[in-house]
Amino acid sequence: MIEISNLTHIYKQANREIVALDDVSFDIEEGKFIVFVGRNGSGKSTLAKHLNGLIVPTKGTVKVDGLGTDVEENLWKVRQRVGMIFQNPDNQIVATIVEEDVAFGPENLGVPREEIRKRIDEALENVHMLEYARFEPHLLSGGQKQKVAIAGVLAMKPKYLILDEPTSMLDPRGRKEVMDTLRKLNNEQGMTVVLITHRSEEAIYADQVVAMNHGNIVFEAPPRDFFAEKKLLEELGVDLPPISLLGWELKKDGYDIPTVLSAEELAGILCLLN
Amino acid sequence: MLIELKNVNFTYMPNTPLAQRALKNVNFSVEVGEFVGLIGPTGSGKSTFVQHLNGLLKPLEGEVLVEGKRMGEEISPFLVRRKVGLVFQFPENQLFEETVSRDVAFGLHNLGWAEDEIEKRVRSVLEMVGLDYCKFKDRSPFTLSGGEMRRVAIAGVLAMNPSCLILDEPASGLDSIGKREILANLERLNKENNLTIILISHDMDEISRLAGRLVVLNEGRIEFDGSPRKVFSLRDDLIKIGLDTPEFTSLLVALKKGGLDVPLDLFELNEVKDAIVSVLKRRGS
Repeated sequence: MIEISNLTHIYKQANREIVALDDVSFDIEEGKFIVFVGRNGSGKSTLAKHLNGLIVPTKGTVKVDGLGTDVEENLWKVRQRVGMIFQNPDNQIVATIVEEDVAFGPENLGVPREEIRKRIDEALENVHMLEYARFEPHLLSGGQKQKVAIAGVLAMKPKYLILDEPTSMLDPRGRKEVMDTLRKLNNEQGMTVVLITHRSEEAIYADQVVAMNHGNIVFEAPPRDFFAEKKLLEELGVDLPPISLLGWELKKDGYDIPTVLSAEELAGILCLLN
Repeated sequence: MLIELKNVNFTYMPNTPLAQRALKNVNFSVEVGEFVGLIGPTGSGKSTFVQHLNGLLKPLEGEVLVEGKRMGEEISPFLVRRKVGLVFQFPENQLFEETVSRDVAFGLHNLGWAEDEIEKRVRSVLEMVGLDYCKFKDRSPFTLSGGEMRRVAIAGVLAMNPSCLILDEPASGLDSIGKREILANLERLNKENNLTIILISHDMDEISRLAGRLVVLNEGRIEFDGSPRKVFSLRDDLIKIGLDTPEFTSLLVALKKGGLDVPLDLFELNEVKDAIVSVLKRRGS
């Protein structure tokens, strides 16, 4: 479990203080799929950076399986458990050959050679990039690079996977592949997934959707209950999936439509209406 | 014709074992005032393609014409880069000056413009991207929100007075408000200033509402070129190459399969809703 207790984070800029997180408490339980949403500057990315000790709390604590991120000696263990993926893959790729980049993490963990080979193949297979193992990363497209970055983290076999807008540079198939990969890792391998996104349609797979605003957690619910709160979400700058919006509009016109999350679901309901 | 590509071929690292053909016999032209959406799966050659439009890359074979002049012979790539502004992904990473106005003015300073002319131009381009000159000119770009920073970066490109603006995923990473602002801005620049816009996007919903014409790249070839209605009617072909249709198209297709006779080529919430309501009413009566 990752326990976030009374976490406050203040960025000091010249002579200004910016409160990015304001007394946040939240537990991330093992095996869950949690999605964080909220407008730019609401504190989502700052919170993500706390989950593997990239930054330390101004006040409060973050504990990963009981290991506080504010204790220097814990950081190695914390980062082995918590893998992190960012938006821009160019900042995350270090080696000149794809498979060497994927090997970088496990090599640093002292994983035996044969095991590393196995992990590289598994990780690249997971993101459908095995055929690019010998490629130079700079020859890949943005989306392909992002998948290599994800493979690099998977090769370290983390227990928790934190992703900060990992699909924002990917094409529809790339997005689907990443989302399918995350769901598979979560369902089949029980990996805990924490996803930060602006795409509401990616939140529909979560166990719990959490909305942040001004450095606070303001609302959390399972997806269907979450997207039922249209007015609140508008205030928070969170878009409803277009299909949910259409459902609302039809409901306003007097049709009996519950909160819907996908096109198939709405189509099913409409075809049965009479 | 503003820009034309004729039989363009391009290969990265030619004559090596790692040679990659990125553009294959591409023919394309864009006219003044068009709003073109460029879509294609990752690795399909979109970035390579747009870099040919503003002279950052030179075709291995074929030719590029800008305003009818052959690039490299009748018009220099340097001049083309001023006529065709390219806004890369995450352009805010390229901001570096201490104030917004200095950052926007950087290119003009390099061209040796007079101070008062620069000020006038900076004022007008900041307003073109919806940022109040007096409020923003002296602020550090690094204290702005993501959406504001991105608009400052776009203003810096607009300052060079391009006839065509190419943007690579300008809304990616922005929240819904920032996204709406940027896109509304582009729409206005196209309609009011008759600026030619070429927009790369992976968001089929967004591009279906903005672009008057869609160009689909796949494996370095132009696969389809036509109106969004026409292109998105090729749903199965798009899915096969790794793209998708807007969510509303998926819904309409599913409704049709379920026996509701709706048109498939609607992209706006209201028109979709009206079509559904009218077909439900017909069915009920």
